[in-house]
Amino acid sequence: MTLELIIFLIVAAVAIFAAAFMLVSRNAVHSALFLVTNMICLAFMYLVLNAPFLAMVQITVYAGAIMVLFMFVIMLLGAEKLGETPTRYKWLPIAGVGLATLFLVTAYFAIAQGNVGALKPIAKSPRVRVVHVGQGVPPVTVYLNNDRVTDSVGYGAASGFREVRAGDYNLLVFASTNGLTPDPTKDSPALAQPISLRAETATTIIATADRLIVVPEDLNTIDAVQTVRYTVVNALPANPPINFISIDPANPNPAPEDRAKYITILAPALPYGEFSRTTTLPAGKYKVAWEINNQRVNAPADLDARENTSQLIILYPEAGPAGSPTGRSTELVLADRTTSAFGGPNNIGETLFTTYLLPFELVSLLLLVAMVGAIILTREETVKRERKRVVVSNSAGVRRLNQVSASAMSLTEHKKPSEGAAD
Amino acid sequence: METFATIVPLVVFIPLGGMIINMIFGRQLGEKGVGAVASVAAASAFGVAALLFFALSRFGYEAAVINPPVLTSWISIPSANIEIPWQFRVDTLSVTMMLVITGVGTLIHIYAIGYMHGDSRFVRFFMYLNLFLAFMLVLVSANNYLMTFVGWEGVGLCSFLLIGFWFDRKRGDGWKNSNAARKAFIVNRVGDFGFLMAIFMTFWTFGTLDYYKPGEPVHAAEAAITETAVAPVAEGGTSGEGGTSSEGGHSTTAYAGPKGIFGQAEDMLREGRTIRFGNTDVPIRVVLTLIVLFLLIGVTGKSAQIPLFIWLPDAMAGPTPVSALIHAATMVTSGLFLMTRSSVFLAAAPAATFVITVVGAGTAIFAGFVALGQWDIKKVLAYSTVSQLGFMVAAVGLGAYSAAYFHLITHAFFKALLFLGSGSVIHAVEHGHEHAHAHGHDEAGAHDPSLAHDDHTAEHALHAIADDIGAHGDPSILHDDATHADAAHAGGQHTATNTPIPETAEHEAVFDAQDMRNMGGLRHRMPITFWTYLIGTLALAGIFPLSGFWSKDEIIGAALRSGFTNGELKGFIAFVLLLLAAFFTAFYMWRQIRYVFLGTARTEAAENAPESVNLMTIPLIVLAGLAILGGLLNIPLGISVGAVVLVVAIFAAVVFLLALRSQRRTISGGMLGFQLLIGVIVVGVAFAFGNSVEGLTLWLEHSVGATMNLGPFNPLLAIIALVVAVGGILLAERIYGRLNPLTRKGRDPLEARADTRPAFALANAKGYTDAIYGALIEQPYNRASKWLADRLDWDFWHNWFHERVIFRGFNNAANFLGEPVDRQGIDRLFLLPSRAIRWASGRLRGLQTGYVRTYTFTMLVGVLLVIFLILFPLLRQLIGG
Amino acid sequence: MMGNPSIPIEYFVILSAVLFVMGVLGVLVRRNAIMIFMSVELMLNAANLALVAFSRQWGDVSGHLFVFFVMTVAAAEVAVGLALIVAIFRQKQSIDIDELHQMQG
Repeated sequence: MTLELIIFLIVAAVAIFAAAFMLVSRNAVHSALFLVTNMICLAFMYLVLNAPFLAMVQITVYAGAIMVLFMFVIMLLGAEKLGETPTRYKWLPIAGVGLATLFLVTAYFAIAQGNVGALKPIAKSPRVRVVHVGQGVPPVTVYLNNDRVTDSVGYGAASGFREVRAGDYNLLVFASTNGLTPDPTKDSPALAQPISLRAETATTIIATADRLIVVPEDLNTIDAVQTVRYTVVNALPANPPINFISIDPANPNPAPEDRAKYITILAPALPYGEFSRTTTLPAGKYKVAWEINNQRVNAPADLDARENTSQLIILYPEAGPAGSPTGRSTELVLADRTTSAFGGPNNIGETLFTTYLLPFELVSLLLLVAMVGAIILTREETVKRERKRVVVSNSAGVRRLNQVSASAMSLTEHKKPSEGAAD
Repeated sequence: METFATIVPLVVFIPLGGMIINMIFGRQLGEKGVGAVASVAAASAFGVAALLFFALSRFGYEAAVINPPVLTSWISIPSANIEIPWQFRVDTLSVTMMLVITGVGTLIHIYAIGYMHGDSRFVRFFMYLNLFLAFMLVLVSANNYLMTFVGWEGVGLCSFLLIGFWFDRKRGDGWKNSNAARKAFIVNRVGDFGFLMAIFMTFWTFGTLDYYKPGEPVHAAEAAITETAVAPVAEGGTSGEGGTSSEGGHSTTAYAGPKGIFGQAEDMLREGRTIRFGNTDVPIRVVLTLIVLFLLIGVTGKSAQIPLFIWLPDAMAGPTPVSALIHAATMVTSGLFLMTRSSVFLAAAPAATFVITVVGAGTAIFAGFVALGQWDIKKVLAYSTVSQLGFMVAAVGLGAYSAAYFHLITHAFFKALLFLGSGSVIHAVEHGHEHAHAHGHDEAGAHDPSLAHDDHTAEHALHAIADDIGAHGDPSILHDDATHADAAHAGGQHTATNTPIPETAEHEAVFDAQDMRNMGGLRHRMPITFWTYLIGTLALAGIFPLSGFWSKDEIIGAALRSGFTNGELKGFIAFVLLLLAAFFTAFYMWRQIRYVFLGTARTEAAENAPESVNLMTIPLIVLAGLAILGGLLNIPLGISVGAVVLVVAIFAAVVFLLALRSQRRTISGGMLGFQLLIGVIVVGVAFAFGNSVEGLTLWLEHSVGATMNLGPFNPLLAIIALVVAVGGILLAERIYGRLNPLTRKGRDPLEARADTRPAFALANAKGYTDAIYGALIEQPYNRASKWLADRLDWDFWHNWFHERVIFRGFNNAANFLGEPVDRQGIDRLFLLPSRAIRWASGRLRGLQTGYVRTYTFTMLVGVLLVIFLILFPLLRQLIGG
Repeated sequence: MMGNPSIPIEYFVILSAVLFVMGVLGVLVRRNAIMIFMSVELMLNAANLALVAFSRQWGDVSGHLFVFFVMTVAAAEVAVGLALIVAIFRQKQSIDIDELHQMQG
């Protein structure tokens, strides 16, 4: 009986009672207000259910717009007073209650026995991408068992993420010879090693000249928004360990004694084929460089660390235009967005505008049409025209109706519903 | 001979061609053209017959059997062994008949051009005449019974058509004509039944119907040829043997091929075969007797013997040329021809020949008696024809085939002459009647004189058919008296033209131009007709040296021989009866002469009667010539030919000069020349025959199977016959020899005398034959047919059976099927789904309440149902577990 | 507050069911058209609650999006529906749906 549960029960009770009063109330305005109460309670529920955005939308749209519209119409029509005309189908409420009871019972059993609570969130399938930084190696094609992950990835290039099923695979790297696509059945892989892929992970496979560096990453939510997560990979062969440093731009080349003031070591002593621990940085622009034994290897490069990204920095030997090594090293920065918080507006927005764009458009179109229709429906001429078009048969009811409509030409005065309903 | 005789189909086809030409082009040709075409066709046929005649005489009188060009086999059923070909037989018998038919026929054609002038159906008349010629020639040129039968039926048909030619007369007269035609046809039909039975029996017995197969010789003829003199061979059952014995002695080559019926009959007679009919075996002689008796039935029908002669007097309803051609010269002789052809059968059936003789002789005397009391000029001649046919049939029965044939030929001459003459008289009297009553109807062209008299002939026919037995004892009652009577009956044309003249109303009684009482004194008015008629009368009466004398004498001589020399009963009977009949013949013919030509005219019509046109008188003259000289055909044994020729020639010259003198007033060059021409031709013919005594007999013997039973000339008999004839004439002269033979009351002298009145009445009533037939046959028949028609057919069959059983039954069944089955049952069944659907939809309509809340409720129920279905396993688990 | 799912999801779903049922009852029982609309809104809200609850359970944000769409559609529907009610009211001077049964068959 935690606090949450208590609050939940209270709110739920309020919601149910509000709904009940809404049903029972004679006064339409009261009913509307009760409904608003109900909606607010539901908004609270949404909050409990990790749907902040929806909670706000509920308040705004439902309670704020729709119910207001209801109110407008109620007041317009003066429907707070309802006539006491005898009902036609007396059995209907009783049958309805019976139905409702039946439904509830069924639902209860369905829910109770359905093990709804045992539902598990859907796990995201692992993702894989390949980076090729092997010097002197022709473009590679990577296969996971018999599944081709990437097409030929050129030197210094990285493929996009590809979702694969979680499991254990045999990673096969084929080097395309003579520009032809290698055939996994015939050719022998250049490199092969087993790999295991788990859900909720994103794996980057870096192909160097002689080895594969597998870098798992977690692309889930970063708690602190204004942070950047980074990982540095050393793909420079035949080199002693590297220090990956960020340089204060004010003083790019400080003296050794000022090093501590102006230079921050982001990834210390990273040997070849290893990757650093994933750490975070505050977002911003940095000047980074790497050095060997405190000797700067390259000129400082810019690192644009945006928030909510996960940066993978790969250091690899540079290749000249002809593919020959130049002797220098360069970096490859792969920045990926991390996912937003579940239920947050970011998340919803992302999903809305990527996966569900089309329904969104359609629904908005629908809304537009509804607006226009509502306007048209309530125009004077429409009503009049409808009145004239009424006669379809000559039954007594229709004739009476026409008499009524003929006598009710003036729209400005509206009769009381009791009088109107007496026909 | 064979090749020459192949022209014989022409003799049939030329008249047929003439008919077709008239049929197609008749309208364009006009009267003269049509008549010319028809007469030329007949004359061409005569020419062909003459050619055949000459060919036969040239080539040794062999018979030739010719197949027509296209019709190689007529009826051929090989599997049943039936082979009846259409073959022409050219032998002396058939050629003789052809000559007679076409010769007399040509003359009558020419006569008819003038006679039928102005008739509306002129073309058709000549078409029928030519058709008749064609059929008759088929009859005589046939080589088998069936072809003969075809011709037989064909001439019966043409007789029907021609007798009823004026069937469309107004005021009931047309009906009289058509009734007469029908009577002729039906009576002929009865005879045809006999003929058919004979054919069937013949075919059954012999397996074929051919007289003689091609190439088969005629035995008896052969035998006769080889003997110079013909001895009288005893008749009765031995002719076969007699023929055989003579054949055995003189046969040239025995013929071994297929034989016709006569050859087979002779063989069978020799063998004494029996023929199997069903379960019985009948000896051949009996079979032949039966065949002959059946043939006799046919002959009595066609040749108007007792009992089937009744149609011949009524056939006078037809135009006179028809009467002359068909009912005097040709058709009625076809029975004779048939008998002569079947002479082999007759020779083998003595019982049948007895019947034949008796029938013939009885007919001769009966008809001769009836002719005494007739008033109609043509009726007299009709009964005279019947009587003479009786002569011929009796002769055939006696076995004197050549005598019968001789009489046939001469009878053709003078009877045709008499008929044509009577037609001329009738024509003239009608004209006279018109001119006498000059009512301003000068449409002589429109007036059809032929209408009137033949109308009345038809009226006579009507009386004959009517059932009032004794009412018309004196037919003169029904006609107008001897005073003037308007010819209101003359086709109604008088009435059409003389409406305002009151005389029409006066003379409403009918004028009969054929009644002899309306004539008289026509001798001076119509000299040519008179003289030729006189010649015909004398020839018919049998006055020496005219042709009738010779032929009649032969017949009576045959009877005498048969009766006295051979001791046959039939001969006795025949002799007596035929002599009496000869007496009667002379008597009534002279009576007719007195009534018609001599004395004074009794009516205005007779006073004004003109002579007929040339077209009509020339044939009369030709026939008169033939009547005189016809006796030269068969001069009997024992008389010098030259003497006979001389006498005849002198006689002919006298007659012609007399005739010339009396008609000098109206003579024309052409007529004189024509008469002289005739004389030359006839003398030539006489020379052609002159070298053979018994020319006809010898000529015919080549074709007739049996012997001819001839004998030499018997002068005593000739004198007796002559005395009888002259006695008849004198008696008639005594009774009727006044200016006006009629008594004051207009009755016949015989009728006026009390002792002869019953006889006269009987004769006048034609022996009540028509009444008897009516009562015995017609009325029961009519009653039976009426019963069948009214009771059986109408009441029972139609009213009850058809109406009740079929119609109502069907209706009821249909109604049953329609109403309860279809409407109630099936319709209900098929309406059921629609009704069900309507009911259901009516119920389901209630679902559409229009109330939203109910709809919502329904929706929710549905949702709940779906949820249940989805959660069903879970719930089951729940309940179960 | 980004919660750990301390409240079991069944509670939410039951709550959602109850609210839904109440909305159904409202639709069935009430005759005022506006009341019916409000009941429908209640039903929609209940459905939304269930959606969000399950979204949290699955960890999939698509549920939120669906709720978003539902809200939009509800808004549209309310607009049009109320316009209809106004039009009907103008004609019949009454918004008792029991009087709107012209479409009955």
